[in-house]
Amino acid sequence: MIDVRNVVKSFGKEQVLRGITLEIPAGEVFGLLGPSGSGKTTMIRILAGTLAADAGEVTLDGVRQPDRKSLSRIGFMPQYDALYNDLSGLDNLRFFGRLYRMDGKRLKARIEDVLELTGLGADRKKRVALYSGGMKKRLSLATALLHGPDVLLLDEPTVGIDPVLRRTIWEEFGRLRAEGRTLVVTTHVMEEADRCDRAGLLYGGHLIACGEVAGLKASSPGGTLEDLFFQAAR
Amino acid sequence: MATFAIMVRVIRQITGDKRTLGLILVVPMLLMTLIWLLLGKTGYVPTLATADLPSALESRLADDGGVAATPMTVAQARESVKSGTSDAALWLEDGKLRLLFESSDPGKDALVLKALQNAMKALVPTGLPGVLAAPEPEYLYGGSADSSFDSLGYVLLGVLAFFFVFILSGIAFVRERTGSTLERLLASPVRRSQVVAGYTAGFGVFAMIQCTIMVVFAVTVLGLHTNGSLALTVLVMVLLGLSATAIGAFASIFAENEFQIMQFIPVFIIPQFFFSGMISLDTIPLGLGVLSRIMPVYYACDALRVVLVKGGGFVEILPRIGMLVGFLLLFSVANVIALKKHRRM
Repeated sequence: MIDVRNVVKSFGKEQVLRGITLEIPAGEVFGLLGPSGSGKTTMIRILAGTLAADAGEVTLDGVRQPDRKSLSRIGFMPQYDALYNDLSGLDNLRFFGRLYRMDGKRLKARIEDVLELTGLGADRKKRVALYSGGMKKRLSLATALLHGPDVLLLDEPTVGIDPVLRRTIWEEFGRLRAEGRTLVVTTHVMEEADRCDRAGLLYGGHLIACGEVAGLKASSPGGTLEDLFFQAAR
Repeated sequence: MATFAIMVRVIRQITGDKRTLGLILVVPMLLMTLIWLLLGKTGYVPTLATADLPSALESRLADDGGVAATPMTVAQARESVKSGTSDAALWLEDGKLRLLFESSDPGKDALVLKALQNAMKALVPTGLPGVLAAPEPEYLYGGSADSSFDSLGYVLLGVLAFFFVFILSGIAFVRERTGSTLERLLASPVRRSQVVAGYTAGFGVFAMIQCTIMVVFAVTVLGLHTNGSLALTVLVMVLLGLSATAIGAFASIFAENEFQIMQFIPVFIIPQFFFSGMISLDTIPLGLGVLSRIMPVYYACDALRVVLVKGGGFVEILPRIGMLVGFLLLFSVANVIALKKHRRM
């Protein structure tokens, strides 16, 4: 379980997170929702340990983050494809796999798995510079899944992906959840929120609502998540 | 293992890019060849105005063919240098030879001096002008600068080795920062020190190849005169290349894009060239020569000079090698600390 307590983060004078407290139960798909600039990416980077909070703390199963050992349990897919454009897709996967101390047969087998899952098998030898935007996104997802993490932090994983592939990817998220993994997914597309078990709504650096998606909807005046944002904006 | 993985990746990235590979392996050789051509032998015969010389020396100079000597009076000879008709004037005054150039021109001066030395050497066995000592060159304008490929070659080796590795490492690291791959890298359980070590090792491999090629090329093809060990020369250059990797990576912290790395060239690189030994440090005014003490290129070039020119051994260059290792460690540690910006552990 991920436990976030009073997390504050500023960039220069701009306060991006103004005291966030939330709990993300294990084995669920948790959606971090909010318009652009609401602090979703900052929040997920703090969860991934690549950004330090100014105040407050994050724990993963009781272990205070960032913690280097915990990182091998986490799979992180940043918003912008963090890939080496001058290497092939396969070389990218090999490299990231080795960073997670995978090698030999296990690495080979896992690479096959994630390539098949993301449909990149045929393009594995191509340089990433020649990949389309959607292909890069898929490779980025493949690197996050590669080491079989039980916590997945995915920052806008479906932006720029066509509807068919988007559906495939969400189906895969469902499968990962069924395996008992925890997924944190940021998105500003409200339809995607319906596929989450629970959601946290970020607005202007505040968590304006958090809970089961169905419950949130029921509590909103118009019965949609958007209404909760409109309410907060007023 | 993470260190090794990063090293392999850096190597793959460089070998996958033919232009970068060419920049590392071929361009230094091209530049050295160019300088060699510019400073080396050209077949040019300088003109020498002579006056009141012993006839033996006069005829020796004519026989040598290294200079075109024309006898005249002292006043005429001086005038001829002043007007540029002759490259140099040589005459006997109070039993001593005097040699006058218009201004310092490394190429021509060296040719005239060489011809004179040859002539005088040939005369020694005859014992004739035994009283004559080799003249101290005088200049109408400006001072002396003893530079030719032999005396500049070692500077060039050091300067080129530093320059290319600095640029490559700086750009690679700045790309890693801006392309958010560094953040992705640090989201894995890798240690910050492994990131820095992996990078240094990856570039170190190329520094080693580049330096070996440069030294072997300079000595065998270009005929750079060397009195010392080639292995020591390569060792000094590899250490310089490794510190250039660390310093390039450090510089990338203060750069937001590739172009800003280029902006460091006039600030951090070119001053190091000035202090590399091209200009005698003792003659630099205001005690600015001490600035060289903070410049890795100075220590490397000085070590190269000791090895190549003086034939010095390992023990003699140990303090300079120590400084290079010091720079490497200092900046590596700084880079490991700087990564804390992305991850506080």
